[in-house]
Amino acid sequence: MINSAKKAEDMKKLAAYRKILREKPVLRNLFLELTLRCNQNCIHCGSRCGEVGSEELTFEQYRVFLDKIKKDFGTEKKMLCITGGEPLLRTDFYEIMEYANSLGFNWGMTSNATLIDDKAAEKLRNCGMKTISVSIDGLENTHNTLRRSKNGYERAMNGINALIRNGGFKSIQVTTVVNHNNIHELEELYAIFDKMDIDSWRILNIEPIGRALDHNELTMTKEDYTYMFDFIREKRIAGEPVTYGCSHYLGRRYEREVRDWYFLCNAGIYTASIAANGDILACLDIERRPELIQGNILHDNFTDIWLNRFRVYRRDLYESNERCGNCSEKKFCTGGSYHSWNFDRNEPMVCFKDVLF
Amino acid sequence: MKKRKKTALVAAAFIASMNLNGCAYGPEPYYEDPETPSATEVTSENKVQETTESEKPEQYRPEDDIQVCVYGPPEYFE
Repeated sequence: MINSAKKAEDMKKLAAYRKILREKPVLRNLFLELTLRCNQNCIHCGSRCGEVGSEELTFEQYRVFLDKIKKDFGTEKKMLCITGGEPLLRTDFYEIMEYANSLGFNWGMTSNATLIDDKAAEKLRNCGMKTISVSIDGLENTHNTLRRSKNGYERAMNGINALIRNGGFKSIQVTTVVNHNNIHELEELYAIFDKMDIDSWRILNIEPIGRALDHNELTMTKEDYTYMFDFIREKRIAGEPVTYGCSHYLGRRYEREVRDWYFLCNAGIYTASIAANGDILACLDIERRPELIQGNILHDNFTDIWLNRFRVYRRDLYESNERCGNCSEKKFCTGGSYHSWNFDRNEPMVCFKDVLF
Repeated sequence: MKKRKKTALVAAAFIASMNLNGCAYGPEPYYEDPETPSATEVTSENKVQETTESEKPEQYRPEDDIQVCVYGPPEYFE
């Protein structure tokens, strides 16, 4: 645990470092959204999978792109983060990932795990997957209801157990998106996960993006947030590998208590993303507005975009909002995460001031 | 679940002994890192004993922070 004075000192260092990163960004995480197709239909899906079409790049287009990334950036301290939709729905999934592995890229994946059995787990290990995050969004009935999937929970748990059984991965993580209706299940979920040989449990609050915007009943209350962050902190104090995600500045009470780092929105300074159709943006969860999509890998040079055209992501969001501009925490928060910024109203959709601090 | 570093358990025991966890709506809790000297011990008039290199509190380096993106997989670099 870190005392308040040290937190303040550390966050000042981070604020200074953020300025450096904006001038000299370091590409660490490259997200590849392989598809927007999904075999589930989550009511809180941030990508609105199932409602949107899925233009997809071919294996050959990924091959050319990955060759270019390796040539311009190398593979050291780079990670490919594979997402969807459900990436395993692609029939050429293993072909793409075997190629990435042959180039020397570390890669991990976010999956619902419903398509993972022993054979798939072995193939994932053999083509170099290092880490995986699997969504379990509640106890069985809750998970299946949220994912509109009759046996999604059972299949996901079978997938996780296949990964554990086969072994060879650096990290198997379960992710739970908490909302107002499932927050009371956290202790029961902990009891279940504690018996499994997973590496970590990531707990996120539902974000106001994608289809979640259509479900106000899932929005968390102030009490929900406090309960969730206290829950995570208490588990961490007890030595459990429970963590909050990257989102949002949490104030000095919770910063670095519920995750291993201080808040820093990675978008455009550590992270870039390639959407299923090849569009280039900083983070896949940022609203896909024309002014935020910086190009397309089919006809633009990614390296040039990363170096010269990502300026829209390398600024303090608080500058365009009077309330944020007057906030005492603005130097540490900077306006919050890009994915939860409302670009029409120029205001954060999630702000924990007066909620957590 | 695999357990975190043992230091977390030491910290937990320390905090529990100090009863400083704080209430949900209480003021911000304040507690010292059990592995660092107390801030109250270090004043201009009352400098505590010199510390060896290994006893110095760990310096925070922002570039060493492992970051995880919203719905991405755990970060891992070889």
